[in-house]
Amino acid sequence: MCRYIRILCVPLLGMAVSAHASPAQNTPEELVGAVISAARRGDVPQFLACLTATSRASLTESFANRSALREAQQAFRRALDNQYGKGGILYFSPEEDLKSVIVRFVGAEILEKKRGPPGIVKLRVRTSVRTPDGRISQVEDTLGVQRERGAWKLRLGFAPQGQRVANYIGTLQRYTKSVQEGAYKDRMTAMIALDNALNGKGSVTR
Amino acid sequence: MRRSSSQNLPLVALIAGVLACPPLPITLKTIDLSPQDSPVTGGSGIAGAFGYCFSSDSPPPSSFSPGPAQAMVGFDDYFAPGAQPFPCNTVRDETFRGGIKFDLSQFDTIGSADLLFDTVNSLSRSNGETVGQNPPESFATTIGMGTQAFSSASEMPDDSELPLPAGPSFDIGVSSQVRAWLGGRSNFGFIIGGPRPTATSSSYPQDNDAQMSWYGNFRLRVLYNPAMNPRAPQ
Repeated sequence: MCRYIRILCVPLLGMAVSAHASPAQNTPEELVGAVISAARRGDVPQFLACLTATSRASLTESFANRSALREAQQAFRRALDNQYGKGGILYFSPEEDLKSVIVRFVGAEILEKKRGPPGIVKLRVRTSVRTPDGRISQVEDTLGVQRERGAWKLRLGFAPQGQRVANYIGTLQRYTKSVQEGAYKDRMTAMIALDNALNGKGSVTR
Repeated sequence: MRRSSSQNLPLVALIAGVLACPPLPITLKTIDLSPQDSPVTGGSGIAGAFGYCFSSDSPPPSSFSPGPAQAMVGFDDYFAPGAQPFPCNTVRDETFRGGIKFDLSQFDTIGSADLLFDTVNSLSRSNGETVGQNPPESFATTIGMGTQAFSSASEMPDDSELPLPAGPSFDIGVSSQVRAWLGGRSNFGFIIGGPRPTATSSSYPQDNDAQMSWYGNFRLRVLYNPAMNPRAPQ
C-alpha cells in the first residue's frame, strides 16, 4: 500500500556498478538516445555506462543510503512496538530495482542545448515516462552532459550525501536506544521527539 | 362487471383477522462489531529525487507509525531544493490512509449500521517544528469504500467517498455501505483519507509540513432483526 512513485529514482540493489564497454557517444544527442535506448530495453549495464564515473559512484552510495535508512527506521518502529505495544499494520512499498525503474522511460526529446559551466553542456529535455498506473506522462528537466574519456556522459545533478544520511541514521539509532531505555512516556512522545530531531529542531519532549 | 358478495368473503375475513390479532412483535438487536483484523495504514506518494537525478539524495524517513489497533491518516512532507546548475529536488511526500474492515458474514439484512471511532492522537509540523495536539485533532476529510484488498501493492483506493465530520469522535451512518456489501459488493472495508490527495511526480507539495491523526476504538454498530439473520446472535 505504501507505493511510492519512484519514477526517476534508482536503487541499485545487488547490482554491479561498472562502466561496461559501450559505443562511445559522440554527441549529446547520441548520449540521450543511448540513455533512452538502454532504459527501454532495461539494459542496466548500458544505462550505467552512459553516466559519468562520479554519477555512478553517487548512485551506488544513494542506494546504500536508502537501505541503511530504511533499516534504521524499522529498528525504531520495532523499539516502539516492544516498548508500547505492537502497532497497527503499516505497509511499505517494496524497493524497486534499477531495471524496473528505467524501463519506464519511453522517450526523450531535446528541447534546448546550451553551454553550461566549463566542460558541461546543458540540455533541456522533455522525457516521456510510463507511470505505475500505465499512463504516459511528460516531464521536462535540465541535464548536464560532459565529455569523459572521449565520450559524452550524463552527469547527475547531485552530490554525495553520505554525511547527511549518516546523521539521519545516527539520530534514528540514538532515539531507538532512548525508546529501548524507556525515556518517553508513550509512543507519540517518542515519535514527535524523533521527528523534531530529524527536522533540525532537536527539541526532545520527554 | 358486478362482483358477487361471495367473492368478497376472503377479503373480509382477512381484514377481520388482521384487526383481531395484534401484530407479531419484532425485537431488534444491536451489536458492536470489532474490526476483522488490525486496522491498516497504507502510505503512498513520492519519495526520492526528481528530474534527471535518477536517485541521489535520500530524504529522512517518516518518523510515524500507527499504535496498537490504530490507523494513521494524513501527510508528511519533506522538501529540499537542489543546487544549481542542475537542481535535483529531494522530496518525500507521503500520504497515509487508514483501512478498517468488518466481518459481516453473520448478517443477511440489517436495519442500520453506524461506524464509530475516535481520534486518539494528532500532530502537525510547520516551520520546522512538530507538535502534538491536546485534545487531538482529526485531519482526515473523507471516508470511502475500499475497491481493493489492503496490500502493499495497492494505494488503498476507494470510491463512494463521504465527507468526514470534524470529530474528534465519530458516529457515521454507514447503512447504505453495509447493505451494498451484503448485497454482493466485495467487502474491502472502509478507507479513511485526507486531508490532501496523494502527491505525484508531476505535482507535489514543496514544503516540510505534516498533519497526521491517529484513529482507534473502531466499532461497527449494527441494528438488525434476529429473525431475519439466523447466523447473528439471537
